[in-house]
Amino acid sequence: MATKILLVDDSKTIRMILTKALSSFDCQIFEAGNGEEAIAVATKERPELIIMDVTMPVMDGAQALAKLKETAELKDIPVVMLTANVEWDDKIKILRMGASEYMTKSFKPDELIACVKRFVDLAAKA
Amino acid sequence: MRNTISKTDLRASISKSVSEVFENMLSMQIEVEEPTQNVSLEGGRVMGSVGFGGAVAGVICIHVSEEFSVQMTAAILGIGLEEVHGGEDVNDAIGEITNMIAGNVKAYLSTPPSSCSLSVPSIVRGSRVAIETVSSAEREHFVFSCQNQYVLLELYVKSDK
Repeated sequence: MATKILLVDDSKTIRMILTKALSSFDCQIFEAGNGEEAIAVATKERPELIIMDVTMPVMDGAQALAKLKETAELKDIPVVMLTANVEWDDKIKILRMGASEYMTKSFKPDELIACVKRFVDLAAKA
Repeated sequence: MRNTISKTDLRASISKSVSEVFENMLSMQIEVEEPTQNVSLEGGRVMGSVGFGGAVAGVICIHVSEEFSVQMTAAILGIGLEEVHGGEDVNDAIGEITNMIAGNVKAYLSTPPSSCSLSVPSIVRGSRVAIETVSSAEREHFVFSCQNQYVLLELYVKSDK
């Protein structure tokens, strides 16, 4: 069965890049343009993985991550945070908030696939 | 706090960052050209800019021709030129490319890097676009070439003086 993946970014460009990068992967893609939409889509579709930008309007990635973690039926969905900021201490901050992984924009498609596969494999073993 | 990286190292780091973004996201190889080169972008120009503030303040701007902005958009989206839907697609793509470059550049400018935040990207279009700053800003100018097109990068940093 295809893995359900939710892509959250206010940039249509980034969502298209992520979709293209995941095209070789057996997955069903859902999209959201901000954190608020992400919560709504995640509640409805129950994705197995969320890839989410940090900086977004309406509700940013950090706020959406906190909301996911405090919602019983959503808190165990792994979340990969995506950002243009490359600093290590930002990464630590995001991971402490409950993100499962952190990727910087300007990623190679192979990096994204390897990251997604890691979480899919973990879920399969669970 | 502002990083005490030398100008030579800063220029090398920024050039490397730009090359990485173009290679990873656009599958394009770019060449670093002499910054003293007098380059003009033919026709209309698209300029992406991202500001940064905090321990270090300034702005980074990328200038490309309108023609090349469409090529860059098609490349980053992995679509044909004819599939690029006008200004909105191009604005979003150039904005994101500028954002990625700015994210890398920020890391070289401030210590710790997280003491500096990025603004949302903005796009300016026109045939004669120039940035003029107040005297307290230091400017670094970069020229890159890619597929017979130029990419100009300007970095303005508020001076400590």
